[in-house]
Formats: sequence, structure tokens, C-alpha cells
Amino acid sequence: MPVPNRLALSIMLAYFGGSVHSALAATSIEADLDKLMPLSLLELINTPVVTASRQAETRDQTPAHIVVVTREQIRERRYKNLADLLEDMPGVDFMRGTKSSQYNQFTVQGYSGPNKLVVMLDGVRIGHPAGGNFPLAENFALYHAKQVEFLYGPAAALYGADAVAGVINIITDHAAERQGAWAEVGAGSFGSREASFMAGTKTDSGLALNVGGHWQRSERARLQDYYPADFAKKDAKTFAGALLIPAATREDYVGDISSSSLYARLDLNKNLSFGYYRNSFNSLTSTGDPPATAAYLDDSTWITRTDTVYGKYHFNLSPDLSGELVVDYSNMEVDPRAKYNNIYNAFTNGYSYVRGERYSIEQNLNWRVDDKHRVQAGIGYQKYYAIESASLPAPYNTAQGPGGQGYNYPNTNLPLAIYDASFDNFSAYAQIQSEWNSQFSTMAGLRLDRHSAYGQAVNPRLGAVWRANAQHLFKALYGEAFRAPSPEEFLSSFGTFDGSKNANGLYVGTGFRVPNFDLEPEKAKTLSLSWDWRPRRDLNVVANVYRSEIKNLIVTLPSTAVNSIPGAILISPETKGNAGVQTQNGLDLITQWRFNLGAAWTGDLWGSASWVDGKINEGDGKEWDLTHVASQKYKLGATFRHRDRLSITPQIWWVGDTTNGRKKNSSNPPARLETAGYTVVNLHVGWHQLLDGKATLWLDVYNLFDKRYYVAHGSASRTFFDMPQQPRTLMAALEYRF
Amino acid sequence: MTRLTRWLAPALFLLVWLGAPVLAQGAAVSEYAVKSALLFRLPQFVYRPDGVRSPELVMCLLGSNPFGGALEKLALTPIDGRPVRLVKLNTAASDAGECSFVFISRGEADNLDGILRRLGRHAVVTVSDIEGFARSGGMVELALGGEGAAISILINRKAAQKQNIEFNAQLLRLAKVIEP
Repeated sequence: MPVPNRLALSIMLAYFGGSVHSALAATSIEADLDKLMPLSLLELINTPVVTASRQAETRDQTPAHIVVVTREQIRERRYKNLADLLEDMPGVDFMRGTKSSQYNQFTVQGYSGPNKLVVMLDGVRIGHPAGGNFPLAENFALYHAKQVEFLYGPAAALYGADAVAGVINIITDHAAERQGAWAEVGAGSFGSREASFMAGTKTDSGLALNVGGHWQRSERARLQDYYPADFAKKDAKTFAGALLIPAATREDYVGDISSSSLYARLDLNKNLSFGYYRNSFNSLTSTGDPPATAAYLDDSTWITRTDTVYGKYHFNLSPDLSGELVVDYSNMEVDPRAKYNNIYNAFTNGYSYVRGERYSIEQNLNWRVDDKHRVQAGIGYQKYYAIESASLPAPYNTAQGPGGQGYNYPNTNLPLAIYDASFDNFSAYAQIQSEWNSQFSTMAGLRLDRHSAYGQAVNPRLGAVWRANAQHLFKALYGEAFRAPSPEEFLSSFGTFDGSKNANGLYVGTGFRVPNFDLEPEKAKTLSLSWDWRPRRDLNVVANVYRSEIKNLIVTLPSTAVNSIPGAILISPETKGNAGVQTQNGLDLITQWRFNLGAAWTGDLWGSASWVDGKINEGDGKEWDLTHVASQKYKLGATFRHRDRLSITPQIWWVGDTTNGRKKNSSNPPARLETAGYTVVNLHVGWHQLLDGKATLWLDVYNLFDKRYYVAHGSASRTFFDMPQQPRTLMAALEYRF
Repeated sequence: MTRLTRWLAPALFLLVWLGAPVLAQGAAVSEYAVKSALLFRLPQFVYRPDGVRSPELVMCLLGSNPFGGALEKLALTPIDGRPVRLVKLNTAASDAGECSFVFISRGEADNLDGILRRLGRHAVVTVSDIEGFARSGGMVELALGGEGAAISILINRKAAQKQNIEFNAQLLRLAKVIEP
């Protein structure tokens, strides 16, 4: 790991040096009362308070390890989107701009990819409707968030498929709670522009509406200027070595991204709620590929658009029994113009089309049995549809079905097969929470899913919370979860024909992946133990240790289906199959501290230290190190506030050497190749109460010390081994409240 | 990675993790100290237009107790010449009839509608720090302002007037009146 930047180190030390005063004894509420009783009412309501994290209430009630990020924290830490937030979370490895379709890659406590994380908006899923990977990037902007709850670990007993690594729930306000309007516009380095807004209105009859949206675009840094060795132009060749485009005439690097979203929430009193959410992300399919593998073309794009609409009806059957009916529909579509231009298509255009759709209805009940026991239960039905296609010679015609596209495999007269699937799922769950006394509570839950494609899945969840005293809270949770095979895994089919035939007159295909309709879900088990220590109201320290295992891992395997395409013979095809096992152990230490620095300055400090170690067997009988995890990572941030006028938020991430997707020696486990660790510092400054108290001016500096650094990649044999990251990037934004 | 840098990051993190409790801060007053003080100050600013006044002040708590021992300490001192008695209500609040004031804890937020309906049968002042309490029909909300700010009082006069309860002018000047 490189020697840390000395200035970064000095800044870190200054946090602690600058905050040293003479030590004070810990105060209790009763002790503070002595100071308060002589005060008048006016003086009381003008007394500034220091409070522990407002997540205490939520955290105490669940045995799960949960992090709650409030609106104020989202704002001050400049978590503009879910990617910014997730990157700063304990136990998360985040690799920006490495994947051609999902853009960012990340692992959560050793589990890799968005397909193991359920992302919700007010309890409604907004990721891939039919399961699978999706871009978790600037598209999930957080302008509308009241708070974000990140529940770590298996939560399938409540949420169903894919809640393996955890659940992220973006919670918004009831529309009546957010009135008025605000807007923010910003611009910065590398042609970066962004805008967002929120507005709310309500009527006397109890109808309230909130709308909001964001738009963002950036050309990003021209990485060839900052990493010339990595982006030196290379000849574009076929797999066989035939020259297609000489290096001298190759194009310059491009890496543009853009995103947008639209949000609306309509509430009628407390009972009825409707929501609509659209998010879109546009990136280049050359993302993560070196010049020898892909052409850098600004029209070789992957545009994902997801629309979700929902309705909720909340009702009370009795003082102790309430229910909620939730109906939602979600549709995700990749623009038919999405295309690759890389070595796999001999540097010609290969189009892709993906669609996923979900209809869902769920009835949930919440029953307070007595003072000690509460039961949650529900039943649901989900219907799915998915299309997956790749390497099409022309854009998918959405006016025709998958069987009506009429394409042949390039260089052949063989009809190109495009696969789609319809499937459904019935779900039922029940959970009982028992508060046996003021110190001890338990939770037991079970969920049954019956899926038309892969059958039945049963997932239990057991937990306990022990409040030893006001300062110490202990949690234990055992949970099982499953990840359903994604449409991309069981439907996707792609490869190359160069037009040649064998002696039997069959077209010879290479690099093929063939579908597998018999895939089964991955099955995960996790045991998590947490110690939550609150020595004072303004200080919270959490230690979370976990052990996880996932079986039936879906991995790429050799296939014997060499004749799966009529008229062709496939050389060494591959498919996805259930063959892998992964285990990991880890520890996250988390600190949150609120402090005062004299009369005018207050602040928050937060930090995490994470360690994870595990092994994965990818079906070859050998145990390898996990991919894309740093064995240790440290994240530290602080917000310093001067009254309500100024906020300064530095962040430091210190990430250790990170395992790559590639192996050091394919015959000699367990070591994978590693990407060198790095230290990066961001700085966010806000000037508040400008323009008659209605405006805030923000300055964001990413990679403050302009480091050149890489994140782990090597996801496939021809991608970048390490992915170069952005140089120093400045953004300025003006936020105005009408 | 050199030996020095291998240990530098974890050493610095441990410095924060273990050192924070002993590093000093400026004068800090806890949130629930202020809220308990405000709760026990309220009776001086609340009255019944019909002049009905109970011989003792019964302060009730519904839900978990976030105040530590503060309420017991405050209850030792009479308010407006009336002795104070503390009562912990059951979840059904069926025994709320004897209460003068009821503080509803944040943990009861999910059941707020039902609780307010049950308490609405009694002439009791409802107080809470649940976000949106006043807008939801509660009478007095103790709201936390922005980071490092003070507690503000939000009052729903209409909810109070339904129970023939009024707030005096001084409190109404200092509080924010909510019109749901």
C-alpha cells in the first residue's frame, strides 16, 4: 500500500488534536437537569442539545445490524445518490465505473453485486423487477429521502428473494409533511452538470402531493490524459489476431455518464398513498475495458430505465390490529439502441435488449397481541416477465416479440434465438416480536416462497436483543436467505460465428454462453452478533461480527450443449450452473460521535473499520480468496458546523489491497491477484442561510489531493485488471428554498 | 505496504474509537434533559377555560422511558402548588382517565392513530417527540431542530380545544402553532 499522503494524515490528526479540551466527566440526564431547572421557558427552548443518533429507537427494536442515515446526514455528507451513500457504509467495498451494464461493482460484507441487495423506496422494490443486476449509481438520487435504512445480512424472512447481503430502504416523508419547494443546480469539472428539485402542495381535504426529480450529466475525466500507460492506443484485432483497426487510427477515450429520475407521492390522509418513481442511467458499454478489448464510442451506450408505480392502503381493523395492502408494478427496460463494440463482436456493433417486469400484490397485517408480543404477517403474489438478448446484429424491435425479430446470427443463416420467460411466485411470511421484559426481546420469523420455476424456498430468521443496561446492547441474529437466478443467468445466450463451417457443414461458434433453464436459487445463511455501546448520549460504538455461507452458488461452468443451436457446433461453450460455495467471516467496528467545540461550533464524527476474510469455490473444487474485497478498510468522516452558517465535511477512505477477479495461478489456490490499496480524501463545504436565509452554496471536492489510484476489476479475462479512477473533481451547487 | 503504513490506519482508527469518550467537548446538555424540563414546565401554561383543576397533577408515560430518572426527580417538586404523581400507562391506555398529561414515547409511533383515538376520550394533554405528532392530532410536540439546535414546541390548538384545553399566550408566542 502506498505511503499515506502526509497532508491527509495531518488532517486526520488535527481532528483529534483540535478537539482536545480539558476532560469532562460523563453527564447524565439527571445531572443536566440541575443546570436547566433555573431557566425560564424561553431559555429552555433556546438551549442547544446534543443527542445521540436518532436511529436509537429503530436499532433497539431489531436484532439485525442496521445503519440509519438521516436527511441531515445525507445533506451534509453530500450523499447525492445511493452510490455515494453505499460507498461510505461500513463493510462495503465499492468499485466505481468498472462494469459495462451495471456500471459500479460493490460487495457488502463479502457478498458481491446488486443482485444480492434489495433496494426499496418506501418498502417497494425499485431494483431489477425480475431480479438480477442493475446500475446502482447516480440514478438513485436521494433528493427525496427523509432517511435511508441499511439493514445488513439476510432478510429474506421478511422481504423474500435476493435479500442476502441486506436491504436498503429509502424512506420519504408523508406528502403532507413536506410542503414548499426547493431546487438545486450545480456544475463542475469535466462538463459535469446537475439539477434537482422537490415541491409539495396539499388541500384542506387531506390530499397532499410531493413531486421531485433530478438530472445529471458528466463527461468524466478523459482518463487517457491521467493514466496514459493504461489507455495507450492498441490495435483492434479479432480473437484470431486479424487486424481490424490499427492503433494509430484508434479513437480517444470517452467515459460519459448521465442519469435522471422523477418522483411523485400522493397521500390521502394517513390511509391511502400512491407513488411513482422513474430512474434512468446512461453509461458506455466500454466501461471497464482496455483499448485492446473495446472501442471507445460515445454512442455505444447502455441506457437502463426503470418505472415503478405503487398504491398502499393502510387500515385499522381494531386498536391492536392494522393492515396494509400494497400493489405495485415495475418495468425495467434497456434501450434497444444499447450496443457493444468490442473484440467479442469483432469490433462491430452487437446490440442488446433487456426487459424485466413485475406485478405484485401483498397484504400485510400488524397485530399487537398484548403488551409483550407483536405479530407481523403477510401473503403476496408476484408475477414476472423477462427478456434477455445480446449480440444482436441490429436493435431489438420492441413492436415484435422475442420470436418475431427475424435476425440471424452474424455470418450465418441460422435464426438467432432470443429467450424470454414468465414466472410467478406466491409468498407468505410471519414474524413474532416478543419483549419479555425491559431488557430482553426476541424475534422469530419464517417466510415461504413458492416459485413456478425453481420450486419452494423456506427461510427462517431468529434473533434476540439483550439490553444489559442503558449503555450496552447486545444482538444476535441467525437468518437464511436465497438469491433467485436472474434472467441474465438463465436466459442469456451470446457468442460469435465467423462464418466458417466444419467438415459436417455446421457453423463453428466460439465464446458461447448457452442458457440453463434449470438453475436453482443460491442459499445463504448468516450468523451476526452485535455489541452496541453507548457510553454517553452523544457517543455510539458498534461492533458487528458475522459469519456467512452461501451454497448453490451460480457460477460459470463448461457446458456439454455443443449442439444447442441447430445447424451449428459450439466450441467449448459455457453456461451458468449451481456449483459454488462461499464462506466468509468479518468484523465491522463503527463509531458515531456528536461533539461541541465551544459555543459556536458543533460537529459529528463517524467512522468504520472493516475486516473480512473468506473463500469461494467456483465449481472447480478449489477454494479461492473472495473477489473484490479488501481485507481491511477504514472510513472516517466528520462534519464541523459553525452555528447554522457553515458546514465543513472531510471524508477519508483508506482501503487495503483488494482482491481482483483474476487468480495468481489457476493451479495454485487460494491466492487471487490484488489491486494495491489507496487513500482518498473528499471535502464538502456548505455556506448556509444565504440570500435571506433561503440558499445554500455547496462546494464538493472529490479526490482532494488528486491521487492517481485504481480499484479492483479483472472481472473477466479481457477487462482492465485494475480500473483507473477519477482525478480531482470539483463541483459547485446552489440550493434555493422557495 | 510498509510495516508503518500497515499499522497506521488501524492505529488511527483505534485512536478515534477508544479516544472519543475521553476527548473533551464543550458544555453538552442532553436532549431528554431538556425535554423532561419542558414537559414539567408545561402545566404552568395550560388551563381549562371552565376552571376545572384537579387537586394533584398526574403525569403519565405511555411507552418506553427515554428520560432515565429525570421524571422521578422532577416529580419531587410540586407544580403550581399541586403534588405530582407519575403513572406508567398500559399500552391500551385504558387507565388514562386519571392523567393530566400523557407523554407518548417514540416507540409508539406506529400505533399513534389508535393511541390518540383512545386518549381523545379523556381531557388529557397529549405530549410527544414523535415527528409529526402535532400534525397527526397530538397537542404538544417537542421537536428537535437541526443539528446542534434546540428543542422547539409545536402546538395543535384545535386538538386541545376539542378537549376544552387551552394554552396561555406566553406559550403560544414561544411555540409554533400547527394547523393540520
